[in-house]
Amino acid sequence: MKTLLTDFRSEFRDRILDLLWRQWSTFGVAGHGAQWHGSPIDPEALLLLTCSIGRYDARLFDGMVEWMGVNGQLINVQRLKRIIATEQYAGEQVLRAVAATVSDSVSASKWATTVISKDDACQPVPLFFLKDGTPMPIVRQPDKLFEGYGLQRDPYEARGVAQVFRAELVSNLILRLRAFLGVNARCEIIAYLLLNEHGSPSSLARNAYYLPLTISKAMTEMRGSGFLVSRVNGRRRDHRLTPGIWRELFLGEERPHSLVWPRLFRAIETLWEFLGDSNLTDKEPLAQASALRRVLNKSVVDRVETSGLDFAFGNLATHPGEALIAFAVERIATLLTIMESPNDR
Amino acid sequence: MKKSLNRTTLDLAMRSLAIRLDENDADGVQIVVCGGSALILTGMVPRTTKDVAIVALMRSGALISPAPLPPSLCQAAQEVAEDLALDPNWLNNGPSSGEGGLFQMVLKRMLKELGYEDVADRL
Repeated sequence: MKTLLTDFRSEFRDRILDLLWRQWSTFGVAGHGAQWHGSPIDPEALLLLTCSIGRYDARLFDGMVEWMGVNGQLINVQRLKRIIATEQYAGEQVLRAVAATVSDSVSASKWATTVISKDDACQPVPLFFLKDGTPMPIVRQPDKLFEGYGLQRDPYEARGVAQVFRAELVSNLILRLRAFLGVNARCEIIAYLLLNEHGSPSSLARNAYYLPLTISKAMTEMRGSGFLVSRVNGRRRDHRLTPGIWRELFLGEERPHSLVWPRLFRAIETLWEFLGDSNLTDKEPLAQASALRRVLNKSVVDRVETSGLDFAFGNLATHPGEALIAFAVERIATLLTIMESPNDR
Repeated sequence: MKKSLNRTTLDLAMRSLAIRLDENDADGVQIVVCGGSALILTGMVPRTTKDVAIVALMRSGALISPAPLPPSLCQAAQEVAEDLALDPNWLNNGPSSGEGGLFQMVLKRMLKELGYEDVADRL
């Protein structure tokens, strides 16, 4: 049955696709006018969300694949694996096909141990969908490589839309640090301390998706440089960058907000899995509301509210039964508005 | 404070219970209720009640003990409590929860006099 919730689907999808486009555009994918101006972009989180919601915009998806061919050496595969394992992203099968597409003789070993392995043979499913949720028709011989991963699409062709990322943009901080220091935990440590001023190894490991031991070891070594200082605060050892040039060097005049994008994007992906389910319309409003409450309570509210975004869902219990639908639609729309420009808050 | 249940709320709760059993792909269940909720649901009195008391379960036409309640029913009832802001114990087997309960002492003999109503496929 049509409700506010089912009517909200297309707005939700379009706003998320617009956000993804703006982040990819900032990373160097041409084809969308607006750039991202907000919390520094998390490459792994962006990749993972595009592997699911990006299936509703083939041009965006292929822009991502092409970008991976140009800048893929800056993706942290170990971190990608850890994010997938921690947050249970849905697009792992798609990611494997993307990794296989961009893997060449140089990068093969980087991807080989992680995401390239194929699932057991299964019935191929469409990779792309139209806005109404129906599969995008395939007009040519399906792409053999994607088909090997159980995904059907027209042959992938690079269109020359991806460039090397622009290092001077603060939104590209993570890529810039990786280009400078290499793809390792030190980039996330520096980015975290730049954006949050200070942090303990445990909070940093949790929010940057590394093993605590990895972060602790790296921080101990980094303290030896004199650029990182620590102070014991109760049972925690609090770290910060030494005052001086760091902020000016990497952030200039900007003071971007720190967000845990993998957590936030997984909440968004979960909402889309729910809203995009074609069976949703078959349910009566009471059943839609009941299912929505399960999704929000189990997988969305906590993730969003611990992502660093200045947003709280409010008390779902005060909106019983079908009343939840109108309340949740309003709150999710507000969430999207805040996500779209987190630095304005 | 959790709300009391009138006819409208009870109908909503029972529909919600059927929805949750369906969504959870649970086995169907037949429940025999007594007390205020039974009187309200059958339209005999227009009062309110604080809970739905299950006195027995029915399987293949035979009454069986409701102690313990099936886990799938407990889970669905808990979810309905969340959905509708009801008391977590809104659906219970209080009258027949122990050896001296209504089912165990009396109800088996009364089977032929009871009527029942289908709420949905699984309830």
